[in-house]
Amino acid sequence: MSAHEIAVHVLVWTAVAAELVCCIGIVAARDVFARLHYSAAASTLGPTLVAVAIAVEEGVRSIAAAAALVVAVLLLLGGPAVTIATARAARARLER
Amino acid sequence: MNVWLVAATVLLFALVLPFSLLARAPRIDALVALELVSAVVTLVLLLLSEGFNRSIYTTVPLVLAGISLVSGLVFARFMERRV
Repeated sequence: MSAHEIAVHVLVWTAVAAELVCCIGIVAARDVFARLHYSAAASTLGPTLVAVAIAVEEGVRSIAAAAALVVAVLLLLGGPAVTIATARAARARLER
Repeated sequence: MNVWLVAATVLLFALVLPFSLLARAPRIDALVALELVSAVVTLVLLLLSEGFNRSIYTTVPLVLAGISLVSGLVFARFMERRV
């Protein structure tokens, strides 16, 4: 196995491990605000690592790497916005 | 099967946990679970497009990422005001 393949495997399985932790954590968390932490982490860490893995596999200038990078950036920018909006909604419902 | 397809399959099985939360939790908790599911499904589609070696398939996670962002904001706004 070459260094290139090892790098891809490490990146992909780290991303999968991060998503698995988020999937288990969201069920184990006690309330909605604790659950939001796992939801936010799932939309930032995993997609970024997979986009880097695809860039390593296909080359930085490939179409697949560009598309994966756009997906990762969309999730990176959108994830916190959705998390904040959901936290505001949860607080408003709590105060009602 | 290559590493991309195996990783996509593992993540698909992991989706059982947030789906259980979607089925039984209160509405706002279900919305959080839905946001997690949309992020994981986007990742699965990205892994599948790479696993099948078809770069044109990356359009699907690209569109899903945009739609999940908008739908998350709309659902949160709706829940804040009405439901």
